[in-house]
Amino acid sequence: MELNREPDLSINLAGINLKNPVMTASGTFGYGEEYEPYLDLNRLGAIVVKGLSLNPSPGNPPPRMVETPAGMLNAIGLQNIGVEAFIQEKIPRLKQFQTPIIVNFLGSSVREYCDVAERLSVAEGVAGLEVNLSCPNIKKGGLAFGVDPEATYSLIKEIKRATSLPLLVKLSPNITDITVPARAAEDGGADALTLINTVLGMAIDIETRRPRLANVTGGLSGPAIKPIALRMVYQAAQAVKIPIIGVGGIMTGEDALEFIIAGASAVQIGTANFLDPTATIRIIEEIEAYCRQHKIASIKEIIATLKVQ
Amino acid sequence: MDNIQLGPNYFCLRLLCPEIAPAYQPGQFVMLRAWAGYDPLLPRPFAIHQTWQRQDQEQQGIDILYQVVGRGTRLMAGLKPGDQIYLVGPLGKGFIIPEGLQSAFLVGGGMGIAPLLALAHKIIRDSRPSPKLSLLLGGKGKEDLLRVKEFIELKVSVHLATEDGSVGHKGLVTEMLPTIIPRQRPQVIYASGPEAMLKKIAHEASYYEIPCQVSLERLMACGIGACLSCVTKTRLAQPPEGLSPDGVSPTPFQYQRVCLDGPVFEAQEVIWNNGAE
Ligand SMILES: Cc1cc2nc3c(=O)[nH]c(=O)nc-3n(C[C@H](O)[C@H](O)[C@H](O)COP(=O)(O)OP(=O)(O)OC[C@H]3O[C@@H](n4cnc5c(N)ncnc54)[C@H](O)[C@@H]3O)c2cc1C
Ligand SMILES: Cc1cc2nc3c(=O)[nH]c(=O)nc-3n(C[C@H](O)[C@H](O)[C@H](O)COP(=O)(O)O)c2cc1C
Repeated sequence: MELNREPDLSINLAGINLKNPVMTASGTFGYGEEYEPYLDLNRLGAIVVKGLSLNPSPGNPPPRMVETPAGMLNAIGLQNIGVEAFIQEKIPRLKQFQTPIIVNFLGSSVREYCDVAERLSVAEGVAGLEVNLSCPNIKKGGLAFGVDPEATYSLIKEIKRATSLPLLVKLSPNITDITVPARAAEDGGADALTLINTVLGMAIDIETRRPRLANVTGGLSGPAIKPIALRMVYQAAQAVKIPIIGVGGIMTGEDALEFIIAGASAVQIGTANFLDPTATIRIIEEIEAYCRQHKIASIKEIIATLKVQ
Repeated sequence: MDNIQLGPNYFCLRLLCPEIAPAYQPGQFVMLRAWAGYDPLLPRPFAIHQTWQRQDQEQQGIDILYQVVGRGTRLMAGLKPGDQIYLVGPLGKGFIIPEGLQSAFLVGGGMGIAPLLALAHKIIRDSRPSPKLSLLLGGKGKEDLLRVKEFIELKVSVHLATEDGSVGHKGLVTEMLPTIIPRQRPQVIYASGPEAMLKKIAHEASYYEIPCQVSLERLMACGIGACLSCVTKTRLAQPPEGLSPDGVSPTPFQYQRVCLDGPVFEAQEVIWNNGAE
């Protein structure tokens, strides 16, 4: 056994080479630049940026966020600068880093999903796309596409026609059986699955009897949803052959390793960035320490190695 | 590090943090997490009250003035010297002091006093000749008016208001503005405190055409501009084409991040209550 060799954390995810399996979760890392003062973006496996739509969008009225036990509810409503401004203003800066940029996006119609995918495909500096089928916070927020397997299948098929970039499909957990949309996305041509997005929830102020979010409902994230996310990653991993990216409540290297053992090839870090902007780096170091301690030469060795009696 | 009780629910937390103190502008804040575990989950925003330095021990750091209002601040009240806390800052945009400032009002409500003492210090330090400063401070009762002595020591003229009448004007701090503004005509008004107070001050300031800067408070998650939780409606300087303020359609607005684009805004930019009445 080579004890002194650095463990190899690199993975190839649907054709995208990642130095390590830790990426940022869309909507929690802005356009990357917000975090530049706090960490070296070169160290990340990949950067997934805030969800983009064809046109700029103002997002939902405030209040947009409320803390709940070991979690938070958000209803940002996909405030974003639009795909064109992203390409002109944000990519040039992001391109300087030795880290693949994955662009999360969304449309209100099949046409719009395809237009955004097409535009991003000809922009230089985009390594992959992550299609959001699952935002719970806007009316036509793709959720309709996410819960109907027929719609999922045909949408993914259309988007694949519009782009040659690796396509990650981000699924909603707000469904009874995650393997249904997981298979539909795979059949449609998805190169990988990201799961989960936030879990639909709400909170009420009993003094005013008003919802705490202007949008009434919002998406729950953070440690509170980790067991749900882990279960869904495990179930989806049994059902599909394409790689899975696990996301939901990952705060530590230990959490990330649980997802990897359950079947995830990579993980995304979301809410943890709000507790500590350098959380991703700490998590990478904790995964590395685990590998060293357990004499694991490559992270690939432990993907989907859950021992069930 | 120290955690000194100043009143029934008020504390001053003294933190040793050599990185933050030198880089800081009054009005900026930190995100602070003084507990382990995930409940409460998010760090809390606090204005930097002042910076301190002890030459003999080459130590420097910041003070945070806080009121216990919920779980996070209750946990903070239990902090003891030697405890480790997690801190990011200084964050956001602070108050702007115009060149050659000769007179200013500092208006505070309750905990809104926190960033104003350092602001007074900075104005006095940076301006020649010595500017004329007035503090207008309001609170429920006498014990809610913090740091008054420190302002008096700085030769700031102090006007107090309490809702219970235990000291100063009986009523709201904003009720003093219509008489005191025309008398003193400050060049700038700086304000920090509850939103209803800020809105009233902004209204008075615009009536007398005095530039006014307000420090807004919103619930925040990241504090660094990424999550878009803390946004507030502000007026668009240049409305996009097809969106003209015709008096019928709502004011053209944008959502700005209180954490990164603020917390200090020009009062006239702010659309109060996000446009709702
Ligand atoms: C830029 C900025 C600077 C701030 N500076 C200071 C400061 O210098 N000193 C200070 O004491 N506080 C300051 N605050 C407010 C402080 O962040 C909150 O009081 C704190 O987050 C409450 O945390 P908690 O866990 O104790 O309360 P929670 O358990 O989160 O809430 C308890 C109760 O307090 C209310 N509450 C929560 N946040 C606020 C708020 N911002 N204002 C009023 N009520 C609130 C909640 O609605 C709830 O009813 C600042 C806020 C901002 C955005
Ligand atoms: C404030 C906020 C904004 C988000 N915005 C997006 C988004 O634009 N697109 C998307 O696909 N997911 C979005 N998400 C979901 C996250 O990417 C992630 O799937 C979810 O938060 C679960 O992970 P976590 O528990 O680690 O945060 C957002 C989450 C939060 C908390």
